[in-house]
Amino acid sequence: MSTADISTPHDFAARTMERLAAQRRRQRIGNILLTIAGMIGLLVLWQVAVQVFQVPSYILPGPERVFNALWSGLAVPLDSRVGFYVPLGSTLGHAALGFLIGATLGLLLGSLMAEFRPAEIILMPYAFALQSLPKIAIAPLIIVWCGFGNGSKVVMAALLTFFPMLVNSFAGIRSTEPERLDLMKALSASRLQTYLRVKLPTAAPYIFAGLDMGVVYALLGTIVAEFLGAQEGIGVVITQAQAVTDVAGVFAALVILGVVGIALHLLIKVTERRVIHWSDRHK
Amino acid sequence: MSLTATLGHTAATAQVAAGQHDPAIPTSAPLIRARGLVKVYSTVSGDPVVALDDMNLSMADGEFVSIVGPSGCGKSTMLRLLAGLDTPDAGEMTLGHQPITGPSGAVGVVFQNATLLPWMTVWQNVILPLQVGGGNRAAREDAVREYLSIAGLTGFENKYPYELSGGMQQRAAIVRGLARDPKVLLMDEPFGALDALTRERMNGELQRIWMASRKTVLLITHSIGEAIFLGDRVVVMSGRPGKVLEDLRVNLPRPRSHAETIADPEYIRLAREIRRMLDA
Repeated sequence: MSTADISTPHDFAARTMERLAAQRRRQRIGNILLTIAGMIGLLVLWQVAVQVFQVPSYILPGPERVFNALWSGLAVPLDSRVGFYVPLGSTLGHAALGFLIGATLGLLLGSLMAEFRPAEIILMPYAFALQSLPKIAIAPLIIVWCGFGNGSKVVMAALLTFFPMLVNSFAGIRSTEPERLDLMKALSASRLQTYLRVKLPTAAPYIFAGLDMGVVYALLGTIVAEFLGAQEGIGVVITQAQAVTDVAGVFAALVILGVVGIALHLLIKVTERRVIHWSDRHK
Repeated sequence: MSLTATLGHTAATAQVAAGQHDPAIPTSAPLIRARGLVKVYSTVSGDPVVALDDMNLSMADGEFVSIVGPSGCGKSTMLRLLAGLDTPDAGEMTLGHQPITGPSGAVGVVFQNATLLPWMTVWQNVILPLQVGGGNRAAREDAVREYLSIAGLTGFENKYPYELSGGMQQRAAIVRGLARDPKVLLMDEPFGALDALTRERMNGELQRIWMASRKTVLLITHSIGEAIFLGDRVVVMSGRPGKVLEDLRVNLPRPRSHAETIADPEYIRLAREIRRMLDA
């Protein structure tokens, strides 16, 4: 760090950049360590509280019991009936299918409403009413119509994904700058060309926000359908564990769902950053 | 230099360039003619706003006309009408001998703030008019490449707009405006968002591109200096409702440079006259 190290201004600039990068790296590692320390602290506190206050494990098991339950569910062959993998696969599979259906329909109908005024006038009241309704309340009706099985799971996931996608794609398309529409009009572009080349890309950040919400809602919808009656899935694992007051088992399933939720959210975020690379930098 | 002679409608060159028609003397019909244009907008409160009232303008082929006026004088409205983006409530406009009824390939528009699409590369942006328009695209692509080179953007084809400076973005927007080989290029305060020095440089660039492309250009601006520096004529508009106060000929040799032009007595005289009119 003495002046003898600095041979040229260019060198100096490179060194400064390196130093700043190292500083940022150190800070990031520090932040991660702090998060982990906080987590460990919370787990220790939990364990101590459970022991000191002698909380029975059918009310609140300690982290150790939860970890054991988690381990016994994970340390099994992938196709084992008693492990987490088979129910998780079922839940994720149906959630994914429902998500795809709901997201596609939401985008299509949202676009239709944004593009055609009559469609907006006719459909908006229903969208508005259903949007304010807690969609979970429809679940019993869906079970009546689609039965205790995988059909209801897919329909619930699709229904819950549909609304944020509808609202977000509608708002996103409507947010298109008038100047960009003038540009396309001056070029005598067709309606479809304007939609595909200008409106849809403009709406992309909104659509990704809708997908981000939708992926969590799809999982939620599937679990609720599983609670109300299904043969397989993480929701079934939870209700079965609850039935035998295996609270540690319930906690283990919740941990699995939490991790899956975070993973799905990150997946959407990474895709978003790749697809709309211009969004945070333009203007 | 011969290019300068054919394009610069100055008194000096008009004498030496034989066969050149002076747009002030309508030997042939002007390329653009607008007569008695009226445009009324209704506001949210319901009160009508007269943006243009009995607006007249004619432009000869190859001419560079600047329109200068106070904010809200309807100069952008005028451009929107000529571009076919809006329809007038009264009056008539012709391009060549055809009435202007809507957007057409004969008119290129350069908007404020470049309006490049951020999800497209420079190349995708500048050939957008060819992609949505159809026509013989391959033939035009070469011309677009040529314009990119004139605008100093060769090598930046695969960059995204956010990777370009404001001046480069605006030059790309001009190239896009020229992509369909329009007869007329309409420019709506294209350099308003740039800093003063970049703006002066862009004025020089635009003059160069214009002299190379031989287009008829209408430039809307609120900069008196820019209007004189670039224009063969400067049309001064009144405040709302907009109409023509004065139509001034700029007798300055081309190519013009800022260092020379702003010290020219003709420039100073015009600038003072326009400022007096706008202050009145």
